[in-house]
Amino acid sequence: MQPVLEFNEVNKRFSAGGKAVQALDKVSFQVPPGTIFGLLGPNGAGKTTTVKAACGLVTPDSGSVTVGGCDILRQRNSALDQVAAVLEGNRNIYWRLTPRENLEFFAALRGRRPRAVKREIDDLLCLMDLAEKARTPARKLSRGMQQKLALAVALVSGAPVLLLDEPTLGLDVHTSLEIRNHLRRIAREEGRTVLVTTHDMHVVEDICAHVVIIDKGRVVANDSTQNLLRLFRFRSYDLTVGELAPDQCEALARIPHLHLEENNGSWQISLEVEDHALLWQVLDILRTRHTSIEAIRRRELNFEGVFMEILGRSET
Amino acid sequence: MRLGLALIAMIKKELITRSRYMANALGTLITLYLVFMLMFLGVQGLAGGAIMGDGLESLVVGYITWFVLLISYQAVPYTILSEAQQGTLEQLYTAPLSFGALAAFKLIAEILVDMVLAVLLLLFIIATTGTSLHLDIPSLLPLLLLVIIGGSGLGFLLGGAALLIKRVQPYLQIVQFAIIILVASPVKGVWRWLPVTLPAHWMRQVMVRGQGLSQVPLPDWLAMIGAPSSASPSALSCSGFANCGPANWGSSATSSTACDNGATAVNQMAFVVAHTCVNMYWED
Ligand SMILES: Nc1ncnc2c1ncn2[C@@H]1O[C@H](COP(=O)(O)OP(=O)(O)O)[C@@H](O)[C@H]1O
Ligand SMILES: [Mg+2]
Repeated sequence: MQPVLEFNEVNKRFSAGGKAVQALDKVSFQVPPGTIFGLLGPNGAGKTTTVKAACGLVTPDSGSVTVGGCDILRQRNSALDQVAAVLEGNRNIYWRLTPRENLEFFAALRGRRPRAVKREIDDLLCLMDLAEKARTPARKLSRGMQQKLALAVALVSGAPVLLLDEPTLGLDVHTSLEIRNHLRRIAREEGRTVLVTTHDMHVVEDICAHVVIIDKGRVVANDSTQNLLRLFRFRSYDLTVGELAPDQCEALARIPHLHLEENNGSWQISLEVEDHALLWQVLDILRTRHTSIEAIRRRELNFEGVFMEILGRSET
Repeated sequence: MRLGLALIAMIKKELITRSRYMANALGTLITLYLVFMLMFLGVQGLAGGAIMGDGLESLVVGYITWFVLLISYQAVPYTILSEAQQGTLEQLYTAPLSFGALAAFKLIAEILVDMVLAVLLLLFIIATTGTSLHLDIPSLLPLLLLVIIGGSGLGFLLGGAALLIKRVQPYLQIVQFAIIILVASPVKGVWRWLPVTLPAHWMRQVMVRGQGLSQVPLPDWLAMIGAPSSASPSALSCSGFANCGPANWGSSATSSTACDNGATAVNQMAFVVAHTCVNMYWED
């Protein structure tokens, strides 16, 4: 399937206060239509810069960004027609306007007549539990309501691609869950594509089908969420074994991704096995002196663990 | 079609927000009215009771022209500043419309709604001072437009300058006086070529003397339309703004790019002007 959003070797360098930051370093990825796509990374990784590049707010130094096949720089308006963004923070809406007025205003900016979107706006207000507050200026709404309104504003644009920068940041658990449910529905029922940035693994684990992990502006992983989880779940082992002889230690130390530690008389072996042959190799080394194996644990990594693991690897 | 919808939406939004903050608008109106009445009574006192000839009428027209000029001058920084402060500038810029169109629409909406204030002020003043003015709308509109273009051109020019050369900023204070000179200067020699001077002069001629546009001689038209204010500086400094456009604007909290410095400059400028105009705008 044709990707609806495509980053191709995008570079962006900021210079602030005499110091240059490579915010995006040859970032490439493709987002297939109708999915919820996660962009995960620690603070300062370049998530916001990526989102801004995808909606024309940041001009890449090199590389290209296309939305629905339109280049964001060369066919700006056609590209922007297909994308709506909810940027970081709570200033995506006019605080002095009511929810309804906000929706009408942003719909008009997208060329949609007030009369033509009236029904849709009513529905959105209901859906987002904002109907009762439809006449209250947005600045008087709770943070969660403002965020739901911002999401509604993005939806009323009619754009097939939604970019959401940290959409659940600073929200209470209930509202965060609510927003995630909306996103699922948007992807499943409306067939829209959602790119969510977050540094919260739970969000990714919960709603994203596919995830790109970025760190210091570089893509360090790009895979389905399931694969990333599976990859690590089955390949990380902790062994507790008895006394090891020096030659055994030497042999073990030669195995890549193996960590060895003595702990009052017994030894801890942590192993990330790229393939299972390595585990056999470890067992073989233990067998040479009939070392007792006290415990073997398969380490279960949650997404957070996977994330830390990947970041750790990209360092080396 | 799409542009029309956007323009109407901008104007509607401006009207809604203004009417929601009606107290501020009224406060501005009353302050401006009181300032005028002080001036009026002072001048009358100095002249020993009665102003000779059409002095009063000229004063009224001059004051209103100054107000219109100020409105259009400060609409430029305000347009950018208010959206930047509200954080909605970026959201606006992701709409599939050009930055130029968006900025122009915002400016138009801003000035149009401000004009309501100007008209109300004029009506108040006329009612309480008993002046009689010729409100020849068809003749006034083109002149008013020239004043507005001159004023916003000046806004672009100084805004652009402040963005590019930071040392200009302290001198922006002078602008409030310069603006009065533009309205009040004679229409001879080089003065003719000052922005707004000629349109302001002809506004007086129309409103005070009852002359029509047909009486404006060709050289005056040329000077008014060709005056540096109307065309080149605004275009020139427009590009200054556009270069720095919202693309690459970081989140205002974290970044200190040239553009953010620019925003600060515009901020200062707006502050200075806002002072002259006595809390014309509100803050949350
Ligand atoms: N406008 C800017 N000016 C200077 N540096 C910036 C700007 N925007 C972002 N950066 C820098 O680029 C890097 C990536 O930032 P960002 O994309 O906001 O990260 P994230 O959203 O993942 O936290 C950071 O080091 C940040 O300081
Ligand atoms: Mg961010």
